[in-house]
Order: sequence, then structure tokens, then C-alpha cells
Amino acid sequence: MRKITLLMIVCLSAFMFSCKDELELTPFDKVDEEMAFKTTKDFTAALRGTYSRLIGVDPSFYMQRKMILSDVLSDNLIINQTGRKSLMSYYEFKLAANSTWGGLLLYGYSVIDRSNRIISNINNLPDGDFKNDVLAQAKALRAMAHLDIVMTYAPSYTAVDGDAANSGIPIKDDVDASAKPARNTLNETFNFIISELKSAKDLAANDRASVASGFLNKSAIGGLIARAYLYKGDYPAAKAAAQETADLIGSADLAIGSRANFTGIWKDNSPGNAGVLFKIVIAEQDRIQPGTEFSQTTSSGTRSEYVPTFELYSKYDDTDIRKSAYFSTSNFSGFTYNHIIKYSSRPGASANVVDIKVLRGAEVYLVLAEAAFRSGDETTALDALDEVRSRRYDNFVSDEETGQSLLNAILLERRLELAFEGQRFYDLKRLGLPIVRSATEGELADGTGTPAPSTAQIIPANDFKFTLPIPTAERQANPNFAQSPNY
Amino acid sequence: MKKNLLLWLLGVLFCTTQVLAQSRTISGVVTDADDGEPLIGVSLLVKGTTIGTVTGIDGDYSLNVDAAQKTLVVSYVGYATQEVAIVGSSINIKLKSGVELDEVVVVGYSSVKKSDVTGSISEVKGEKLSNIPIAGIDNLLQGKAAGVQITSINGRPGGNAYIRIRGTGSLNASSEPLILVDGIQVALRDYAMINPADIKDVIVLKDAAAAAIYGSRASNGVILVSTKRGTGSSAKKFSVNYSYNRGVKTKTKDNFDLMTAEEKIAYERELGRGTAEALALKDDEIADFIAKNRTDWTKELIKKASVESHDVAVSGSANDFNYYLSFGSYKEDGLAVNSSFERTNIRFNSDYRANKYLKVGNSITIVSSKDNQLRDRANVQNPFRAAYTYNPYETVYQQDEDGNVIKDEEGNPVWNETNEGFNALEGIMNAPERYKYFNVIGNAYAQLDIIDGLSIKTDVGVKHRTDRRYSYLYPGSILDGIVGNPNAPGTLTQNTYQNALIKWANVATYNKSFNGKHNLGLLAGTELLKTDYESMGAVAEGFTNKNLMQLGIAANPLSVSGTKLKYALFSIFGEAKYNFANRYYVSASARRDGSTAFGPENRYGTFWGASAGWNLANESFMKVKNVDQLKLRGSVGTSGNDRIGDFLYLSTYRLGSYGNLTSSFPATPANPALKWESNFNYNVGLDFGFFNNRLTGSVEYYNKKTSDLLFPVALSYTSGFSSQTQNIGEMVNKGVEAELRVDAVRKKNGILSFYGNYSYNKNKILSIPTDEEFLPTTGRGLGYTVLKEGVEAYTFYITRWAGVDASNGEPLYYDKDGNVTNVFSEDDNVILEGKSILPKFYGGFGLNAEYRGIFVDADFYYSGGNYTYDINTQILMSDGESPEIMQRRDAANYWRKPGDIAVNPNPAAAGYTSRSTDRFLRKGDYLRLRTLRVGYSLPSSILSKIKVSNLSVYFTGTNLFTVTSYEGDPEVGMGSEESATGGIGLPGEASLFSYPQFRGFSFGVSVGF
Repeated sequence: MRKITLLMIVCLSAFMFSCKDELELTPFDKVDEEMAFKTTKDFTAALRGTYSRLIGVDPSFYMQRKMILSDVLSDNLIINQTGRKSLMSYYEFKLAANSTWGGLLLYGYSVIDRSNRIISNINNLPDGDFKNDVLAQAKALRAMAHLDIVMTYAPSYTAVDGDAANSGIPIKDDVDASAKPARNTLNETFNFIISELKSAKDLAANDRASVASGFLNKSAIGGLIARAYLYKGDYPAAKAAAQETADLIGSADLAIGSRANFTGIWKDNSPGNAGVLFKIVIAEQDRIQPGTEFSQTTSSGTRSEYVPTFELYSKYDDTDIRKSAYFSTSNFSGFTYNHIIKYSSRPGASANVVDIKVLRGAEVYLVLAEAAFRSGDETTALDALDEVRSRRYDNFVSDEETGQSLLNAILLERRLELAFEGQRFYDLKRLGLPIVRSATEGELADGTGTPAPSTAQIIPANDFKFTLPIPTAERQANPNFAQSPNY
Repeated sequence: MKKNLLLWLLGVLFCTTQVLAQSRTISGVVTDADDGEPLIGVSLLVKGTTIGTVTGIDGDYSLNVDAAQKTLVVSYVGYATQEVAIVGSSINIKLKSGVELDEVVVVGYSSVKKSDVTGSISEVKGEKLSNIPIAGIDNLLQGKAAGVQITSINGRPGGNAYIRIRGTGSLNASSEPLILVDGIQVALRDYAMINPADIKDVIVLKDAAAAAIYGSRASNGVILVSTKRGTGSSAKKFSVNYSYNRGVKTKTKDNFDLMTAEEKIAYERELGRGTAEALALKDDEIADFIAKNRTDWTKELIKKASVESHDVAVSGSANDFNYYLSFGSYKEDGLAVNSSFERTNIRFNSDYRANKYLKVGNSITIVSSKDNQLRDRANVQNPFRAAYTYNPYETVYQQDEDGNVIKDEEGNPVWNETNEGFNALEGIMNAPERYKYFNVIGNAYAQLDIIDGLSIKTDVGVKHRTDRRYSYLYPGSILDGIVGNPNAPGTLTQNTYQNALIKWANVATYNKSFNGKHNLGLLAGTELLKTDYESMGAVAEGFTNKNLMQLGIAANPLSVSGTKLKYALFSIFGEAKYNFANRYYVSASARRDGSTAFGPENRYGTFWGASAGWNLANESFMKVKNVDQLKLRGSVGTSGNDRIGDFLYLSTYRLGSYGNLTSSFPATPANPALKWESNFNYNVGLDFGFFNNRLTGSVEYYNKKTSDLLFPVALSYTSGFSSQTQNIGEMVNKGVEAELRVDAVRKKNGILSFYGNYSYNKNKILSIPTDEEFLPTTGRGLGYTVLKEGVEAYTFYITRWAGVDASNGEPLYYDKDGNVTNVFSEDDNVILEGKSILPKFYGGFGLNAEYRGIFVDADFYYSGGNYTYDINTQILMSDGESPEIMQRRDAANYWRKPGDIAVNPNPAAAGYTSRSTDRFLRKGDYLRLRTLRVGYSLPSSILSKIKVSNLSVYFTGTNLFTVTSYEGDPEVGMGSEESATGGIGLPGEASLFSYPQFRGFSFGVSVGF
């Protein structure tokens, strides 16, 4: 008996001492931040983690939603009455703090945060090309996210005083999670974006192979600079940036994509990624389907959420390669529609899975054309425009437009080229144009059907609705982030 | 003759034990002390042995006893247990009727007599939980104990409930109490794995004095479930019990109507908005169109379902060994087509006294279970939403012009995708999500009784659960067409989740009575708890046939996933109890825990409890008639809560992929200051029993303050994160509880008793560390509520509805200052003090009646004082926002011309937009007849002839009726279960078409040998 007691006491005391070690646990599927930035591989992984935040399984994420929403909020798309009526509150401009696009803010700033963490650890890397390129991409990513956010949640640069308080968005360049930053001015915001992009461009490598990996390279960053200047309305700078980028790419065929290769851009198989400067790569296993936002195809046919407005569709000429690359006409539920197939498939993949093209060479040429025109250089403008047009129309012969008709041609080509790519709403906004939707034309292929509701047929130029409201959740968590005007 | 037969039967059933040399026979009659009637079936047991017998038809007994044996323990249901000295050979015993009060209950790491308890506990007997067509112990506990509030998450078979003891003590995800089954911590998903038929009793520890010994896990209370063991204390050596239940369930009725097909089409056409088909119809086509297409989606999706169970238990004892062995099978079909829950379990519990010093024993249950879950999501795939929102003129299958169902090449009907772009019935059939669970919960202990009163017990417990998930997307299904790969149709996602838990507790106890007056109890122990979680998943696509879907034969393997998590808790604890002559009681306990949930700086926490009691009934001056019990008690103490996500104190990077290559990204923003949530509470109570214990009960007051509340605080989006777990402030829950039982009739032929319990809880946020007026709850909920100092947690923050403008039909609102406006703005949201998601009162009441074998039990449950946002109604009365989906009949009651006093605004004037205002905020009060059971037990005079110890048949009704002003079922748990994300909404925040509640009728029979 005594032995048993003794044994028990020995066991118990051994147990009490040995258990401290049981409390020393570390996670298995994640690492402490200090461990996450040690080697070059760590930094490459962190960069990929930042790019991957541009998309997500939830379609309200950043880029998937941007691709369709810019056109839902404009004159390019009309809702399909036999569709699921997704995004209807956007389409009808019923935007409010409890019904707005929170995804861009949350995930946009998350891209910024991930970039900031790379930048704050960058000195763990030895000086050199690798470090410079990582830093360049991180800076460019956070600038791009700031640009998309400011274009969405702040008034147009061309419509307000850029120095007015709260006119921009909060600039976030630290990793303080508890901060509650207020809006900066529009000028501060744009100065930050452009200077970040410029320093990124200086640091970046210019490796075409990075396009296939879904990384930003020097020419893509150049394209972003051109985009930022154009939105800001600084045309000489936009022209210079676009020209420089076009030169950097070299071949216009590679930049814009030849007519023969054009359809391949949307099937992710244009040779050497011709036509693409920066895309987000989506692997089959990611289960991310940008095209589902536009339509779903089942045994009963293709059911579109949104179809092109008859007005837009009619502007595509039959000799325009884009018409067949962007649209397909078929029946659903007894009605005929022009469905958008830009994101519908690539060979061997699930339906609606394609890479998201964030920046294409054609945009750079169109920026060059518009910026050159507005800087008084019509020759460069027409040349740049024709570089694009000649790669889209069969047997293209330039009309050699001048003056207003040249500008109109540039803006038309921009609308046709960049439809459903996250541009139209922002173009109307920066140009100070109203959104005008037909009061008579509907969603069907022949222009009949249900027109946009009367309350959403015209959004006047520079209306407050061009600035999206800040979500209630953000306003509650950070009251310093002033609500957009009139919400 | 009868007597002889019975004796023979007794001889067969209860073989006499170890008749020692100097044995002699004692005999006598047991009668009721009040009326002198003989009592049949009274259990007599020689104290300290397993020797015993039961009385016969005339109340007589006969028993061989050893000369050394001095005391006989006489017990009988409904009567006070008596100890009688064995003197002489003829011993007649008079039993006093009364509730058996001095039973032993398991509290903490030891057992105590109920009359010695000075903490606040509630007890629920196992028989109150069995033979009801509900799978999980959590749901079964509803209304059974004061201070324990149970709300079903939803009506899913095998689904769970929210358990809140004395209010919502924490704001974070886990406000659940600690539940221990035979000392082993179980998780929410394990509740439905415990067979209710195996439960002996459930003890709820409500205050710190009772719960502090569980330290860091006890701040939301502790529920101790003890399973049945061999009846070692009874004379019965062996018994077999079998029970069978079979029943049907239907959905609880709604107190509103949906439109008919005619009304819906008329509604759309009047608005000029709706589905393309309805609007395109010509007036003279409508009747024909409806005749061809009329469909009742509720009937298509929600059916009458059946539930069936079998339970067999064998238990007994022999010498130093006792055992309980059971088998149970339970099968419940869900109300929704193709959903079900099945469980098969066995249990073996035993205790063996090896010698004077050593006792060993175990309990183990092995459970195999499976269910089929439906797409309970906040979208069109959700069948419970579809039952309400699909149009009554849209058919399940596609039809040709003549109204005949169109068939595909294989002769199967072709699904109609409806205006929702989906067909929820097709989703149920072609995208099933099946789970299989395998659970082992068991422990083994060894107890050394070293010297009188001192024993050491070591107890190793293991819980292992494997969940396997099979999520199918059949080739050719609608969803496969939308999300699948046309070149590789069909997708199978298979996951395995392994949960292992090991605990090792070592406890030394010393109990000693000095001079018969000073009673001392000491306890010291250590406990190590480790959990280990691993998951694995694989996705593959490309199948030819829905019947041939295995990962190995898929054309295209897509992805694999896996995670691993560990957690450990190491604790030392001790307790001291003393009472003087069972009159004055004091006790104290302490526990120190180290948890891996916190960083090194805050890893350890110490918790304590103390209590005192005064048993007035044992005072000589209180020896008055009609006072049987009177005990005043009070307690004070602390406990904690560490149940938050793992490693939240670290700033961590998680791994993922981009373009099929490894990526890394921040998972959580670091909060190294993260620490225990701690709880300080005090409690005073009075237990009483009057009039021969015909009136018994207790009343108590408690005050529970939680500090350093853990909460996912919403962060600014600019941080890149949506929330971060922080310690945010202080909250108090205070309230009163009362339990009362009245035995109105207590006769040999019949009893009638009433019981009731009432709990009132007042919650208040004492402080939140923010400069702002309030803290949003968007980190956890749907955002309808906020946390604000001085008001209840989760008080609604919403714009107020001011009705409809009778002149133009516009919706009107109150602005922040209370002025009526026709402009809706979120800035006019106001905190609606007094309107929170938390119930303020709840409880149960009922009766038990028995007359000559016929018995009736009724249990009511009530709850109220809370508010719920009714999204269902907002969707079904959408002011023209969603005319393309089904609407409630009263949605058509909108303003049409000046002067109309309408419920709803004119849809056009409302801009075809439905705004979230308190128009849809509803009181959650309800009263429900939870169970009603009517049955008949055969009298023992008949039973003895057929050699059966008991036989009863009964009908049970569940949720038979509900009284409420809520629109739809008022028992709102989770808005939507969203299996993908773990749920939408705070408990009771909003109704959002989750699995409906049921109403059931069942028939049962139970027989014992």
C-alpha cells in the first residue's frame, strides 16, 4: 500500500513539472510575422499574397467586381429581366451607406496593408535587383489600390478643389491596425499615388515573363502612371508617361495585340501574352470565376445578369474583331440576347474562369491618343488611335479625323476597346459627362425589352452619385473617414 | 399464490448474494406513513453492501442479513429515503412521502449531498430528457432549469442550440457554457452524439462558488452530464430496459399567409414590375397560365417527416462490480426533403472495487452518426428561403405548351430554373452535402482509498471525433453548370476533420467528520487538457455519373487542403469545505490555469470562489411543523474565458497560393495584450421545503460582472482587416431566479404536481474603451446592433419608421431628432434603448399527473423581452423591391389613393425600395407547449404475472402550440446557418430563412425486465 502511495506521489509531482512544456505551442499553418520575411522566397511569397488579394471567392472582392461594376454604373450594361438581378441596387443607383461596395475598400486597403508589410520589412533583403524589384511591385500595388479607391470614393479630380479638406481618401502607408485615419485631400492622395508609382517604375525590372506570372513589371507600372495622370487631367504628363511606356514595350503588336491574336487575349492564349501588360492570374483550383458576374451557362442556355445596352452593341462594326470576341447572341427563356463572353471561358478550364486583365497596351495607346490630343498634338493622337484601330478592324483605313471628330473617335474607341474592363464609369466621371441610358431600348438583342427605370435613366454630370458612399460598417469603426458628400 | 409467484420471481431476478455463516432472515411490511397503505416495489438495501430486495404486492419483504450488518436503507420513488436499524427479525417500516432531497450530486471534482450544496446549482433528471423526438441534449434542456436559457440555432435535425446560463456572459463567439460528460469536455458538435437515454442527470453550475473550480473555462457556467451506471445501490442485480419511439413532424405553422398564384400575378401586374412571364401575359391568358403552372413550393420542399428510435439498456451489479451497457439507434428525417440525422451508439460504464484500497472504473460511448445538410445560405439556393420566395406559378419541372412535363433523353424530368435562376429542389437532390461522424468519448479512472476519508483518483479521458464531409455537385446539375468545368463535369469535395482531446486529472480528496459535528472536506488536484485538430480536404472534378463519384476516379484532381491546430491547458486547483453539524457551511476553492490561447505575458490566470451557507432547518429552534428545509446560502468568486481563436496574440502570416504557387499573407493583426476574459460574481439564495416537502423551491439573486470582455472589434477597413479580438470592457448580468414545485396530490393511486421556474436577467454594458458613442457589432453580427455604455449589449441601432403618408403613400421615417421626414438616411439611426437581442425573462412550467397508471406530463417554455429583426418579412413585404419573388398576402395592402390608411407605402412612392427600419423589428416574446405526454403504465399486479417490471405506452406531442406576436416562428437562433462561413448573425439578431422549427407527434413504448 505504501508503495502504491509513493508511486502515486512521484507520478503526480512528475506530472506537475512536466506540463509547463505543453503550453509552449506555435501555430502549424502560419508563422510569426518576423519569420515571414527572411529569405528571398519569403518576399516572393508575400508578393504573391498581395496580388492574390486583388481577387477572391467572394465576387464583391476588388477586381472581379470592378470589371463589371464600372459598366453597371454606366451606359454600357443593361440588366436582364430574366437574370438573377444581381447588383440591381447599383444599376438603379440606389446607393446608400448600407448598400455600397465595401469590398473595394476592405480588400483594396488589404492589398495596401500587405504591400506596406513588405515595404516595412524590405531591408531584410540585401541591396540589389531583387530587392528593388520587390520594393517596386509593393509600391506599385499600394499605389494602384489607392488609385482605384480614390477614383471610386472621392469626387472626380476635375470636379472639385483638390486642396479641399477630406476631398481624397485616407493614405495608408503604415501597418498600424488600430489607426483611424481621416481622408487626405485629393492633391495629397494623387501626389502620393504618382510619386509611389514613379519610384516603383525606377526600381522595377522590365521582364515580359512577369506578365504570365501575374506580376507587375516596369512597363505595366508605366501604364498605371499614364492612367493616373489621365484621371487627374494632367494631359502632358499622361502623354509623356504613355509614350514612354509604349516605347518601353517596343512593338505595337506586342502592346496592343494583333487582330489575329485579339480573341486569344480573352482565352488566355495570345502568344507571349501579346496585348496584356498586367493581369491577375487565376488558377483552376482557386475556384474564382470572374465571368459568373456576367452570366451563367447551364443546359437551358446562357443566362446573363447584364447584357450590353443596344446603344453600345450597335456601335460595334461587323468588321470589328471585338464584336465576336466580346459578344455572342443566343436565346434564353424564349428571348434572344447579346451575351458578354469576354470572361466566359478559356480552353480546358471551368466555365467563367479567366485571368483578369487589369492593364492592356491598348489602353496605354488610347491614353496617349487622348492626352496628346488634349495637349494639342493631333498627329501623335491620330497615330496612336490608328495603332489600335488597325489592329481591330478588318482592312482598316484611317478616316484621318481631326479636331472634335478626332477626340470623339478616340473616346468612342476607348469605350469599345475597354468595355467591361473597369473603365466606363470612371471615364464618364473624369470627363464630367452624364450617364444617359435609353428610355426606350431594352435588354433584348433587337433593342426591345425593358429600359432602365426612369429614376436611373439620367445621372447628371458630376452628380454626387459618381462618388460611392462609405459603408456604414467603416463609418462606425472609423468615424474619422468622412462620408462621401450627400449620403 | 400471487405472493409465491412474486417470491419465485424475485428469486429468479435477484439471486441472493454471499450468504455468510451467521446470516439470519428479517422480514416485515413497508407502509405509507400517512395512510398506512402498503407500498409495492420499495427498495431495501443493506447499507454498504449490494444485498437487498423489493417489497411485494402487500408491501412485504424478507431478506437474509449478516449479523455484522446494522442498517437497512429503504427507498421508494416519491418518498424520503430512510435508514432503519436492523434490530430483531421483524421490521415494519413506515415511509414518509416527500421528494427525495438528500441525494448525492456531482459538483466539480467531487460529489456532495444536495443538502450540503452552498453554491448555485440546478439539476435535471435524465428521465425528463428521454423519449422526446429531439437528438441533442442542448435542445432537450430547454425550460428545464432556472437560469438556463436554450434557443435552437434552427430546426435542423441533429442541430444545436445556444445555451446561455444567467444571461450572455461573454460577447465573443463562445458564450457557451463548459459542458462535461462524465468529466470530459465536449464541444457543440458533440452534443447530439450523447444519447439522451443514457443520461442519469444534468447538473448546472451557475455561480462562481460552484464553477470556480473549473477556472478559465467556467465564466459562462458549467453543465455536468452524468451518464447512467450500474445500479450498485439497488438490490436489483440485473435489469433490461427497452424503449421504442416513433413519430411524425411537420413544420410549425406560420401566422401569416403567402399570396396565391392569382394574387401574386395581380400584384405584379398592378405594379408593372415582376417576372417577365407574369408581365407578358394577356388578361385572358392568366387563368389558363395558372392552371398549368400552379405549384406550392412549400409543399414541394417541406414535407412531413418521421423520427424513430430504439434504446436498449442492460444494467446491474454483482458483488463488487456494476455495469451499464446500452445500445441506441435514432433516426430523424428532416422537414426539408433529403435532410436527415441518424445516430447509432453504444455505451459501457462500469465500476469495480478491486480491494479495500483500489477502485477502478470507466465510461465509454462509441457513436456513429451521419446527416445530410442542405444549403442553408442567405441566397436562392436555400430551400427554406425558396419555400417562401419561389413563385406559385413557377413549376418544379419544365413543361411544354400543354402543361406536360418535359423529359430529357434519359426520361428524367427537366428541372425548371425559375426566375431565381435556380431550383432549390434540384439543389437539394443534385448538390447534397453529407456528413459522417464517428465519436468516441470515454474515460478510465483508478481511485486509491488510502486511509479512511483520504483518496486519490487519477482519471484519463479521451474524446476523439472524426467528421467526414462529402459535398457533391452532380454532373449536369444546375450549379455544376454555373460553377463547374464543362470539360470535367461534377465536383466532389471531401474533407476529414479530426478532433482529439486528452485530459488527465489527478485529484486527492480528504473527507472527515470529527465528533459527528465538524465535517471537513479537502481537495487538491492537477489537470492537463490537450486538444489536437487536423483537417484534410480534397477537391476533384470530372465524373461521368452521379453514382460513381469517388476522388480516385475523377478526371481532374483540383486541390488539396489541410490544417492543424493544437491547444493545451494546464491547471492546479484546490478546495476546502467545512460545516458544523450540517448547520453552518463555509467553502473556498481556487484554480490556476495556463492556456495556450494567450501570449507568454498573459498565459496564466488564477480564479477563486468562496461560499457560506446556513441550514436553518437543522437548527433546534426551527424544528417546527411544516418546515422541512430552509437554507440560506451565499457565494462569491471569479472565473474566466479563454475560448477565442488560436494564436490571436501573434501577428501571423498564413500561406496560400497565387497562380498555383505559394503565397503568404497576414492572417491576424497582433494583439500581444490579449488576455483572459474574467468574471466576478456573487449570489445569494434560499432553498425551502414546507408542508412535508409538498412545497419546495428556491429563490436567488445573482450579479455577474465580466471584465476584459473578448470581442472582435471592428477595425477600420484602412487597416486591411475587418476585425481584431480585443479585451474591450465590462458588462454585468444580474437577475433573479425562482424554482417552485407543488405536490398538490400525493396519494397511492394518484399524484398531481406542478412545477415552474422563472429567470429574469438584466444585462448592461458598464464600459467600453472607445472614444466613440458606441461600438459596432459588425465584427460578429449583421450590424443591426451596437454595444453602448449603460445599455444592454446588442441594443438595436436603427432608423425609426413613422408610417405611411396618407396623402401620397410615401414611407415616412423619424430623423435623429424625432421629426418626421420622407428622406431615409442611415444617419438617422438611433439606439433603441430597451430593445436588444437578449431575452430578459424565460423559464418553464408544467405539471405531472398520474392516476391509476395513467399519466400526463406537460412542459411549457416561455421566453421574452428580446427583439429580433425580421428580414423574412422585409423580403416578403418588399414595397416593390422584389416583386419577382413570392410576397406575403398583406404586401398587397399598400397605399393607392389619398386618404388610404395602409400598412405599406406605395411601392412607386417608396422608390421600389425597402429600407431597414424598426418597422421590421419584432418582439420575441413567446409561450410554447414544448412537450405534452399522455401515457399509461401497467400496474405491477398485472406486470408481475407477465414477469415484467414495468411497461408503459405513451404519446408525446412536441411544440404543439405557440403563442406569439412574432411573424413566423419566434424561436430565432441563427439568421442563416451558412455552412460555408459558420453562420450569419448574432443569436436571435435576425430571422433569415434558416431551417424551420418542427411540431411533432410520437408514440412510445418502454418495457423493463
